Amino acid sequence: MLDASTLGKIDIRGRDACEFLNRVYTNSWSNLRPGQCRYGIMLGEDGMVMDDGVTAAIANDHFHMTTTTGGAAAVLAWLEDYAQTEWPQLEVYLISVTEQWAVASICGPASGKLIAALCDDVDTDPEDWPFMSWRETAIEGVPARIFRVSFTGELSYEINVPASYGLWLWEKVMGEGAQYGITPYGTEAMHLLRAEKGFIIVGQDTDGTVTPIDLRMSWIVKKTGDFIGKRSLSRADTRREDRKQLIGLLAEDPETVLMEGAHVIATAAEPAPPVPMLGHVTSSYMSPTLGRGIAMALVQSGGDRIGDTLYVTRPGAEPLPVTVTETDFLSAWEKNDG
Amino acid sequence: MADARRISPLADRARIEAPDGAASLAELPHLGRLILRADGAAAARAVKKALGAEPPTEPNTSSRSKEALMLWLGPDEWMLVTEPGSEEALFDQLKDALSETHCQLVDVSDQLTNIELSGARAREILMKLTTLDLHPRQIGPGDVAGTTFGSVTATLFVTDDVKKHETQRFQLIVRRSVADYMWCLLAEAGREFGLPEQQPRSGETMRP
Repeated sequence: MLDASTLGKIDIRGRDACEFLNRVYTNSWSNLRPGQCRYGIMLGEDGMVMDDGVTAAIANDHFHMTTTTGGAAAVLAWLEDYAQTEWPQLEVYLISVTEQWAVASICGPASGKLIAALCDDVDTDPEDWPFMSWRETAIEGVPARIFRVSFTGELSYEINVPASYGLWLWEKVMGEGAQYGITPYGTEAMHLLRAEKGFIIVGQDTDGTVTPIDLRMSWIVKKTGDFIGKRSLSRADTRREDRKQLIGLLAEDPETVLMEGAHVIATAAEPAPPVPMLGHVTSSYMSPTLGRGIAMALVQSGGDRIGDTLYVTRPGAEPLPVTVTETDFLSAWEKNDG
Repeated sequence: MADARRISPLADRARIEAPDGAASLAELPHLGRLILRADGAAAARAVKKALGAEPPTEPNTSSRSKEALMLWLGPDEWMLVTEPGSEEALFDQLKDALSETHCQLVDVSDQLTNIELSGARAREILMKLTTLDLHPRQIGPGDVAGTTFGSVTATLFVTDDVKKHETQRFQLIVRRSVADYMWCLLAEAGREFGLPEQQPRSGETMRP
């Protein structure tokens, strides 16, 4: 169980709420039905990734948007600015509910059983709830919204209760979860788990200069319909074929944990300066599940280099050889070793 | 009917007082709070129909109905404050009356808490923490202001139910996660008047 209460939450309401979402996210929301959730990426006007999160449909005119913790206030101000000054004709209102809800994120193979044990009344087995859907329910009479979403790549549910019940919920879940060997985990463990799955963290794997295409997530950019940042994606510089792209790096020595921020170069030895820099390591961890170090990096034309050998520099020693891979380490491992 | 499982943001902070009525600080726990966003005359009519009183249209003021104190937060935004446990009934009352109006009504009872600062030196304590002019000719009973106190934003309400012989009381409506900081900040500002020192829960020091 992870305390995920800090994530930004915005209540969005109005006849034009769906149209509003279509304009602020790169993907389409028109076919999202009440009860469903969808992951979205927001761009700045410059086409660069600004924030991301899962937004759920409560009703056709009512959405619960989530944002990153650090971006919550900025995103609300951003959306309010657009609603008031760019699209005043849209019938949409926004209210922050970031601190109204305490959120316990449960994940692991037994999480479905635990959710079923906790809820007063679930009409279906939580494991049968479609992935990316949510239910309105109660735990011992306390109203709860439970979202079947996952940032770890495992079976996962996020329980939202009114924040005054936060401590009660934590103790309740720890108690009920003891039979399944439940343990609390924090943000560092969460960062590692998501990296195994290749999920990005805005502000770590992005730095305000990265487009969704750079992240090799073109699938999330809709082909029709305007959205904030769309025009900037067709600039000469954002259309370059040799932009830095997000890929995985596996060091030759599995014990190696590459340094975040380390430079990626093309040669086994560091040449005399100026050293041509291909990119840098954005995220790096020792994965106990995979039994080796894993890293993500933004590398020039990264997508064309899958399988290639590159080198990661380090102070006072020879560059380390690394293999370029896809970022979903977990799926690759499950196919081969798991 | 109180639910013992609910813990208010400052449940671990008992009321504190300075000697001789100079100042006192207390949380008003579990008040019901709703945010209403709506525009125009239709919204005002609907609220009046539901509650018997219109929401305030003059910036930075408040109005009252039997059930709710209504605080102006913006041209199309109000906070409604009600007795603990009454927020659901208030929500339903308003929702029905506003069903034909473009609006948004959200329960934020858990998101915030109200801290009451009172006493002869209360105004002076607040003056230290904000650039807002708190002189009685500028801000008086029933007035509302959203501004910064120390490092956090909060909504200030100058209480409107002060009797002739009483000194002005103030309420600070603050987000849950910064409530303890606000509590300790107010206590620190009131130390020279006799409020006892309060150690922040997070372990930081208020005084360098």
